[in-house]
Amino acid sequence: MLGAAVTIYALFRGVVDSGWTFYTPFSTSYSTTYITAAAIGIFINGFSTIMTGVNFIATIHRMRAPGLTWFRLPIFIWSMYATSLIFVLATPVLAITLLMIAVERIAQVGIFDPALGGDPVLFQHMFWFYSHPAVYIMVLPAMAVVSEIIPAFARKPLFGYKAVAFSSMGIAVLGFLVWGHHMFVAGTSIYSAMAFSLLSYFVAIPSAIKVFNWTATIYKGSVSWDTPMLYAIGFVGLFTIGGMTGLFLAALGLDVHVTDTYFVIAHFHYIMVGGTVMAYLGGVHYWWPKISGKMYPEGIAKLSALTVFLGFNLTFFPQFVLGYLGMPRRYAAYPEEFQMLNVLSTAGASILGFGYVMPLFYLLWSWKYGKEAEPNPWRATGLEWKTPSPPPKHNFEVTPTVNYRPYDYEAMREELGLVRTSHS
Amino acid sequence: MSEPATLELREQFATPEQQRETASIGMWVFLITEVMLFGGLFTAFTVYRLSHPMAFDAGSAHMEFLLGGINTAVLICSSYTMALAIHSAATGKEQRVVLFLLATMVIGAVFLGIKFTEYYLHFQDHKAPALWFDYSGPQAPYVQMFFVFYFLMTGLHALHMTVGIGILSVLLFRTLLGSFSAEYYTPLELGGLYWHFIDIVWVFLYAIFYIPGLHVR
Repeated sequence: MLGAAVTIYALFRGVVDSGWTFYTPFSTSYSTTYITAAAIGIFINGFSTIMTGVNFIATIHRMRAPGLTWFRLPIFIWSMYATSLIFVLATPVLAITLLMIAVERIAQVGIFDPALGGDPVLFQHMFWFYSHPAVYIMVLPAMAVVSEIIPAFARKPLFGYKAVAFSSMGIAVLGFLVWGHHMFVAGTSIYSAMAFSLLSYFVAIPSAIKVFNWTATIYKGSVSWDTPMLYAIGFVGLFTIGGMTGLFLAALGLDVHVTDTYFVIAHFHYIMVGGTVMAYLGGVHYWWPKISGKMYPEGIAKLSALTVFLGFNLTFFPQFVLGYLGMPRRYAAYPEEFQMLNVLSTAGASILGFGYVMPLFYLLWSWKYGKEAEPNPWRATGLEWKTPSPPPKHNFEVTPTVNYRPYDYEAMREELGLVRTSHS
Repeated sequence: MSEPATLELREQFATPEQQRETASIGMWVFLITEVMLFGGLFTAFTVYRLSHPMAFDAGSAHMEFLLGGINTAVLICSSYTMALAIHSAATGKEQRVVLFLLATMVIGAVFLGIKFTEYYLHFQDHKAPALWFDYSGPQAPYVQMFFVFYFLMTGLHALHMTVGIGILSVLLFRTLLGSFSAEYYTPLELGGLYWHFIDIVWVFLYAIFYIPGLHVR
C-alpha cells in the first residue's frame, strides 16, 4: 500500500515519461520527471512481493495438512509455488537495478549512462531479467485458476496431473532464461539472440502441455457451462492464440519486422488480458460463493463472460493485422488505410469495458442481496469446499487429513450416489 | 529470568518443531533474495570490470588495503561471537548470551567505524564521486565508475550491518526479558543467519575491491 501510494504520488506530481521500462539513458539523464519517486515506490512494493514469496514458499514446504503430500496438492498450489520462486529470485534484481537508476540520477554519476562510461544495454539486461519472469508471475496464477475450474466443471480428474504440476515449474525456470528476446533489436550479439530465440521456443513446451491437458480433461467430461467454466474455456482459447503468436515473435527474422508494432501489443494482451484477466474473472466467480457466502446471479454473469470474450477479440484481433502491416505502437495517429481496423478495435474496447463493468455491479449487489451459498455449490473437490462459506476465522474446526488424490471427481460421484459412467 | 521461557506455539502450527522449521526455511529463502539483491550489483560490477580492467585496477590501488584487511578480521570475529551467543542459548546460559550479543554489536560498530574512516580518507583523497572526485590518469570515467560501485556496494553492506545491529539490539532486549531458553531461541538463530550472511558478503566485497589493486601499487 505504501509503495503504491509513493508510485501514485509520482504520477500525480507529474508524469513519469520514461514509460514503464525506465530505459537508460533517458531515465537517468534526460527525463526531468519523477523517475526517482516512482522507482522508490516500486522498490517498496518489492519488499511486499518478496515477503509474500517467502511466506508462500515456507508455508507450502512446512505447513501442509496431514497427508497432503506434494502430489496431492491442488495445481493451484503448485503454480503459486512456481510464482513465489519467481518472486524471490527476480524481484531483488529489479530492486537493485532501480536503486542504481536512483543513485545515477541523484548523484549524477555514471552507471548506465554512456556519456559517463556506462552501458545502457546492461540496464536492459538487468531490467528484463526481472520483467520477463514478471509476466509469468501474472500468468501462472491464471493457469492455476483454470486448472481448478476445468476439472470441477468437467467432473473429471485433471488429465496428466504431474505433467501440469511440473510444467508450472518448467515455466518458472525457463522464464529466467529468455529475457534476451526483448532485446533482439538492442544491438546484442547475433549469437546470444539465437540462443534466446531457441530458449523462447522452449517456453512453448510447458505451455502447450497445459493446454493439451486442459483440453483432454474436458474431453468426454460431463461439462456444465457455468460462468467460471465459460471464463476458463475463454482463457484456453485466447491463451492458445497468444502463445502461438509468441512463437512468431521468438523467431528472429519476424521479430525484427514486428518489433514495437501493434503485433506485440496484441500478443501481449492475448496472454495478459484475454488469458490472465479472463482466468482471474473466472476465479472470482468460482470462489465468490466461498469469499462472500453469496451466489452471484448466473444469467447476467454468463452474459458478462460472453461480452468480455467478444469485446476482447474485437479489440485485439485487428491489432495483429495492424501490427503485421506495420502500424507502430505508442502513436495516436495512423494512415488512412488503417482506419477500418482501428475503428473496429475501438468499438471492441467499448464492448470489453462494458463487459468488465458488469461483474463489478452484480457481484457487489450479490454480496448484499444474493442467495446464500452452500459450503460447496459446485460440488468441487478441494479442501476449501469442505468448510462453510464464507470460512470461519480458523478455516477448519479440526485440521483435515488428506488421504485422497486431488480432483478425485470419480470418488465424489460415488459418494453422491451417482451412477458411474462407462468412460470414467 | 525466573522461569525458563518456553515456546509460545502460535495457532497456525501443530508442533513446536513445525514452527521452528517454518521460520528457518523462511529465513533461508529471504537470504536467497539478499543474494539476488547483491548479485545484481556484483554482476554489473563484473561486466564493467571485464570491459575496463586497467581502470578498475587503478581504482583498486587507491583502496585502504590495511584498514580493509583489519576490518575483514574484525567482522569474522563478530561472526565468532555471534555463533558463541547461539551456542550459549542452546545450552541455556542466558548470561553468556547477553555478553556475546553485546560483544557482537560492539565489534559490528567497530567495523562501521573503520569503514567510515575509510570513506573519510577517500573523501580527502578526492575519490568520492558526486562529492569531490579528481583523477587525472587515463580512463578517468571508468576509475570513477569503480568508486561509484565501491561506495554503492560497501554502502549497501554498511546499511545491512546497521540493520543487523538493530536486530541484535532487539534480540538483546528480548534475552534480558527472558524470552529465550534452551527450548526456544529461534529468533537468535535467525538473527545469527542474517549476521553471518552479511559477513560473507563482506568477504566477497573485500576480494573484488581491495585485492586487485595490490599488484599495481
